[in-house]
Amino acid sequence: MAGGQERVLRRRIRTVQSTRKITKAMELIAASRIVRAQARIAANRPFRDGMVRIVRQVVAEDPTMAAKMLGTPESPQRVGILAIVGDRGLAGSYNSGVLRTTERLVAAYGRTGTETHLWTVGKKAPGYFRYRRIDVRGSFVGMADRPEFADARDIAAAVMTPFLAGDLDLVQLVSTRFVSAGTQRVDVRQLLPIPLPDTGEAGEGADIDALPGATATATATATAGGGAGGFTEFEPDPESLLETLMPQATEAEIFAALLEGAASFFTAQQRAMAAATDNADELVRNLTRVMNRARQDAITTEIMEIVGGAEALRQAKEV
Amino acid sequence: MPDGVFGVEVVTPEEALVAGPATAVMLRTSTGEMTVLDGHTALVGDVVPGLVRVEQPEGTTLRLAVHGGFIQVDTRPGAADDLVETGEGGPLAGMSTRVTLLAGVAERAEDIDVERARRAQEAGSQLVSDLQAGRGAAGDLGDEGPGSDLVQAERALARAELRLSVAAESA
Repeated sequence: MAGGQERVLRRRIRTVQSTRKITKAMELIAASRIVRAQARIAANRPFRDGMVRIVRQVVAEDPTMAAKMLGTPESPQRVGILAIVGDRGLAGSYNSGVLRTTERLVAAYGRTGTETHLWTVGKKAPGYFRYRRIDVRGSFVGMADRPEFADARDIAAAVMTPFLAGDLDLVQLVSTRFVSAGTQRVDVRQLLPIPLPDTGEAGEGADIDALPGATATATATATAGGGAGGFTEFEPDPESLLETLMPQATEAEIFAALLEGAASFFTAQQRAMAAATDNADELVRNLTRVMNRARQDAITTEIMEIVGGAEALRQAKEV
Repeated sequence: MPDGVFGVEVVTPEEALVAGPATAVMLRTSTGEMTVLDGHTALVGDVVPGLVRVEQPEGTTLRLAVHGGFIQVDTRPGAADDLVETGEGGPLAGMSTRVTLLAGVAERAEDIDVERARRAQEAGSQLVSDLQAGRGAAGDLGDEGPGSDLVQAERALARAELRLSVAAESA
């Protein structure tokens, strides 16, 4: 019967419309969370800037000692990698971008015989690596949406303990940087040892250079050059200061990456859900068109049947 | 900028607790008590957990519980421009002192939740003594890392005690 097709189409339109309601709601929620996440990045900025200034001033006092403690090791044998993704999906390429970059990094180190140890943040990471038979030494879940400083401290403790014990030569951080509301990019940077400010990539291993974007970018964006001109007091001496600074600078770096990751996640989710909503609109439009045609066809057929039947009756009477 | 006034900021990863002009900052580093006044030489130091006082030009004193961190005194020209208004001319024109205090955890005295700190202190001292007893029995000395339960419990207890003492002094 012709009305059947119409009913099927009507049901499909209703399904698409209710899915659209969900994607629209997710889009709006994500959009409202972007603002809050961005405000937290802004609130964190004075701390980050202050940390960079302090490290730079200590390094300027005794560059040779600093170069020994900071900087990039020549040829790392055991490398730690910390990857930061989200706890949830439906956010476009947000999770997969970081996960793929991490996988490539692990593979690149593997080719040169470098041992890698992986830590992850976000519920989406462990499954991805388990499926690819890449060991995850530790994973942190449940805080990616709204990271607290205490979370950063826990994560920092996990990667710092083996580094301080000498079991790791280098720790890399793979996460999404919130460059602006319009731009977020996946970025690999050196977490430990703390990169020497301003000098950039002194003494880079050739294996890392082979990877695009895998070179250690100095944390510091160059502001007014060098340390404070003239004499600087240190309490205690620069070397002990650097030692106590290191854990705090690492926590600060991880916290900043978590905050930027959260903001990037919501931005990616908002964009993905807006696209899904648009697709649903188009689908409803097309389905409605097909349904109307089907209804017209059904009506036309019915009229033809009635007309045909009436004609037959009239002819039967005339005979 | 008026004589003796300089810029100070006390920041945590979550927010800037203080940002503005001050006439003196009093704190403790690992080498002892210190007071920073305008014109202090450039300095980088660690700050041990304790009370930090910031005296403001209007005569008020801000009191903060700072649970360890770092201090930087920056004396480069223009260092404190975003915190203090620099006056034109005068002997101090173009000179500025910026004191930055970085702390992982810190709070203003008036923001301290005394009730909560008291509960945390009780729970914390209980936990510390339990852990110490447990470790003594097991004779296990290998677990001294920064992530060990005992170290964490002791830190939490120290934070609760500092909050209580800062809140009590400021009441």
